Amino acid sequence: MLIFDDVTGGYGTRKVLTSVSFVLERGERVALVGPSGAGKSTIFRMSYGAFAPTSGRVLVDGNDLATLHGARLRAMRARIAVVFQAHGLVDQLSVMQNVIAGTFGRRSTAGALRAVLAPRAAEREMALAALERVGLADRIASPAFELSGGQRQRVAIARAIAQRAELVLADEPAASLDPELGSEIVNMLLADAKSRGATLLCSLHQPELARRFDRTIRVGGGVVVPEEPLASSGL
Amino acid sequence: MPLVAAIDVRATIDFLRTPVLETIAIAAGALPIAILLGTPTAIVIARGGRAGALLRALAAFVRAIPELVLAIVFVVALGFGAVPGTLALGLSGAATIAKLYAEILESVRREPEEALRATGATATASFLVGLVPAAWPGLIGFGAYTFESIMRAAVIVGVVGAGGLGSAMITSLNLLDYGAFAWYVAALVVLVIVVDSTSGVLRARAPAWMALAAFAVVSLTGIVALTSATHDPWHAFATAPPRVLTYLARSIPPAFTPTVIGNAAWGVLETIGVAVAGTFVGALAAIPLALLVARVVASGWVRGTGYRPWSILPAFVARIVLVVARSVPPIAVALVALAFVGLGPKAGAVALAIHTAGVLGKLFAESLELVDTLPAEALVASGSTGLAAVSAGIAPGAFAAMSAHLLYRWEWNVRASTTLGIVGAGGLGQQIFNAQQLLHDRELLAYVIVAIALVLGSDRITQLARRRFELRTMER
Repeated sequence: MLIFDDVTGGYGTRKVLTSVSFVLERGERVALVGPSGAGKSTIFRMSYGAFAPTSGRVLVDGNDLATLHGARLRAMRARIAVVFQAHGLVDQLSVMQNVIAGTFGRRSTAGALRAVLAPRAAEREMALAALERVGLADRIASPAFELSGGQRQRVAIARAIAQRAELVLADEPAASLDPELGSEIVNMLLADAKSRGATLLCSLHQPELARRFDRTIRVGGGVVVPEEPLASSGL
Repeated sequence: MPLVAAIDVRATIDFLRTPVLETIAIAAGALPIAILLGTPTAIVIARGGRAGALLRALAAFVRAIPELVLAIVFVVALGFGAVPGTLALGLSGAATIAKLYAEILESVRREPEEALRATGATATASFLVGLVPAAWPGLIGFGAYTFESIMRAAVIVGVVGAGGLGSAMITSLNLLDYGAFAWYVAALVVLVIVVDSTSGVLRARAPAWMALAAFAVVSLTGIVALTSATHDPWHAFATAPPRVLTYLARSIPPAFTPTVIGNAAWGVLETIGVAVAGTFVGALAAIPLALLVARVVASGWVRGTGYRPWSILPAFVARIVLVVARSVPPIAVALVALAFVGLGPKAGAVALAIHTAGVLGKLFAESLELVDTLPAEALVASGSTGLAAVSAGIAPGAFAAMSAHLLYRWEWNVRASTTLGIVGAGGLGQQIFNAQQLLHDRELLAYVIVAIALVLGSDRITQLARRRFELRTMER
């Protein structure tokens, strides 16, 4: 589903990744671990085509993201959900509007604005269902800025659920949360991916959370550290 | 003078020299008046007490009089030329300085000054050492801003006979000399851009000596330009106060006759119509321009394309459109618009809409750039169109700032539309101008009072709107 093929690149002249290669099979749930600054966020941003590598290829379902532009890039992105570390919620919009925004990839500009400003009954129900999955159905009408950090993270996940994406990328969803809440959030992501057969890539700091995934990819200093069986990896 | 012949450099310089010199004299002469009169007033206002309250009210009243209306009164009382223009702009600039500087002085921490006074320092020394340094950046910023406003007013104040480019523009139009008119407009745009960019540098982070030097240079320029552009300006300045007072005494009581009331009511309606149309159409036009210019959109990432060299071309063109639209004063635009849509409020509305689009386009773009881009980035990542990502991800965050800018422009446009009639573009200014031409002093005063009431009333309404708006944003 997601292939990094000898990827090298970074921001401007600053090289972050060097010859990174890995493969995520469809339906796999994989943890991405490594210290801060190891290049995890760069891997995420390349995975949805925010910028292209200087060499190597990033393939999603067989498509090289660097070759996609305009409507075709949008169509591909609609199949990829991203849960940002800083949530990326629109503070001034309600929780429901933020969840509906997850469906923008399937809509024209006018359709997107119509859905946010005048949601139909079916769209409300879809948002409610997504919020029920993350236990926030009672906050559906709240403005996003009233929420706590953990609640914001859950809305971001509900937005990803609403997107019904085949590939879910979650960047440090458990960071900045207390351990119990972080564990709960990771379980939500795993349960959603499992129920839909979606592929999940989730970066983490905590080794005990990484054990719940099918396997682990380790990055350090911009390169992938060779994969080892989980039991002996020292996690 | 035909446009083609005007390319003769010497001839061009010759015929531009006097109006440009007079305009510079008016602006540069008005600045020291504004600062030297406004600063002590601000200090008294900031000290509070009965004198402070009285001066605060007086400054607010003078600020409510549109500059051109003030200029008309001074021209009628003192005769044509640069001196009445300088005095009118100096006075209204002083009122602006008094208000802005008082606000800065009131917002600065008082403890350092009190600590110095406790050591037995004199009041002046405590003020200069304990308070002024903290207030300094604000004082420079608003001083430069005031000079920009004075320059914008100086290039057009001549349309009521106060000399400079404004007078020259009116004369050239009356002679149907469009070539000369185009040259005057070009000179005016250059003057405004030069002053704006210079003051932009000063505002950025100029050291104290540079700001003081700039003030000294401008003041000196004013003195030199005034003496060379007008005959014995000092005598005119010295005798101005008694002559203005005599004139005012002659105009009292204002003639609120049935005809005047009828004309004024119609003028007020037309003025409000011009302001509404200009603000509304201008704001609508500003939105696409702002979207083109705003960095988040112009840089290309929001379109999912990333940076491409040709992405900046539309942004560049839009930026130039904005600069030109806001550099040409609405009065000058109105003079051009009159030729296309004829006499009346339509020309005024067109002029205000163009100017408003230029100003709001810049302010809207700045508002959009201040918003956190992550929400929009999240939408783009999920496949949203760029426009939907900006509309749903960035615009909600910019909405409050954009509304504030819109209200501020509305206030400004009411003032402007009050005076656009002076060149025949409809509204109350038309009556003011007619009364001036016919030397009907008591009717003129009546119309001026109505104009001041209109401006004060509109300011009051936007004040209420602001308060209510803030309440609503707090509730949400």
